[in-house]
Amino acid sequence: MKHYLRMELKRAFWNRRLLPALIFGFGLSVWHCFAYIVPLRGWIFAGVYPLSAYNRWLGGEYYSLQSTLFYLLVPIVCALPYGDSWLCDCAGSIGGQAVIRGGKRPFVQTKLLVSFLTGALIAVLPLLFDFALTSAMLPAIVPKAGLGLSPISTKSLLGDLFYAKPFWYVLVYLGINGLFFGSLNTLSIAAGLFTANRYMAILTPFFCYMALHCAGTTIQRFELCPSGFLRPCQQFITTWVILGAEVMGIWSFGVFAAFRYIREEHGMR
Amino acid sequence: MILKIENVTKIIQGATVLNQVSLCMESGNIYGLFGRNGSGKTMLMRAVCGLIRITEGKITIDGAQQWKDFSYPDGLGMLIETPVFLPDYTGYENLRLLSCIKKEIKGEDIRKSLIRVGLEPNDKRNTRKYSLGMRQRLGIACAIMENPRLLVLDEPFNGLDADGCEQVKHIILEEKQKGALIILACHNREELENLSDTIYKVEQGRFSTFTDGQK
Repeated sequence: MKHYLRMELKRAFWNRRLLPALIFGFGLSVWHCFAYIVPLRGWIFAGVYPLSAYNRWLGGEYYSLQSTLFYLLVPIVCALPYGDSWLCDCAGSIGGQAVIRGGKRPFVQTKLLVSFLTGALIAVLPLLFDFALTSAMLPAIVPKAGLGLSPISTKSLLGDLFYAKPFWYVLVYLGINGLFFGSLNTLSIAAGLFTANRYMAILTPFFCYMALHCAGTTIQRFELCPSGFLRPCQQFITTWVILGAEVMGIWSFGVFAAFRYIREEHGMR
Repeated sequence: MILKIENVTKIIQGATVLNQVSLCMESGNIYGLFGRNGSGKTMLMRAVCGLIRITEGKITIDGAQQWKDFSYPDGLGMLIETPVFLPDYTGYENLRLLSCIKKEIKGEDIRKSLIRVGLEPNDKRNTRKYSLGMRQRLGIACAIMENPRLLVLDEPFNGLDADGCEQVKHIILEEKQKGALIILACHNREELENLSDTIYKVEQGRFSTFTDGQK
């Protein structure tokens, strides 16, 4: 598999669609900072209010437009640079040329791995940047339970960690974001099973994300909605079981697609 | 290298695209395939390359059976239909990425291949801006860059100007001299007769008749 990695990583991280994907995330982060964080500095200098970076960064709140936009559109943005690569390979000759040199199974495995990495990094890096930016402007005061300043409660996922070691909470939650959005991004590769349209492939992770959201809100089971529970501020509170089940469900589709691609008889060009 | 195709049948959605094909090919020869569109030339080439699985029969190379002892022939170079490469990279970068998979050749070998087909290795244009002929040349460079023992070329003269055709003919003959087994499909019978040692006529998936080429 590793002989394909260099080729696929270069394709994923050295293409013209990576830039708009990163501009989206980092742009929202900078916009969020100027719209919400910079004005707060006056309050801090006046010593009025115990503001903490942990409650104000892009993932730490759910009321700003930037935060809403980010968690709404990030599945599309993650799939933008690499999501249609399987379909492009099948339609062009690069897939066949690669497969005859290194085999199909490692090629498909590499595709899934690289789409996972692309999704994870494009989702997490802007959040990490925003947290750093916010921390540079607001004090990182350790949140105190019971003050009502934070939406996270003891029922929340990792709620205890948030009040004990908030920095670790942020890192672990960003890891969860990376895991989920990376997994979700593999659906764009798996989408090649039922569509030959590259735009459909890019949009498939978003449709799945929205389907989970709509299903959760319709049956009033908000813990199923990734757009809510993936926010580190936990707009909706989920459980490890639901989180694990959703990630496993997504991966099972990816693995099924990989199996079908490998077994496919009519192959690539 | 001895390539044996024995009673190979391929059925796709009920249509028989290859029908009991049996051929034997040896290194140092050029085998031409001649036939109408959709007769099964490309499908046989894809089967030999391992890009499709055959429904019946077997393909062996030096006694080793495809899909049992190996999936993709070792030392294979191929050009099947109009090549489409990664549009955001230059021709050299495309070949460099592909060469990283096997790591058998270096950058200098890729440059030589590009020069052989009449492309400029230092051309900074992405393949998105390549003409049809340039893409075809790049496809041929891709097929020959790793010194193939088995060279499968489907319509290699597509989109090429007169000079390009001459260059490609020269390359095919050079590869033959090096001992490669070459399978060539072409609609231009005259060119095929000039190049091939043996020509197979393909009709509706059957390779029933063949004619000896001028050589």
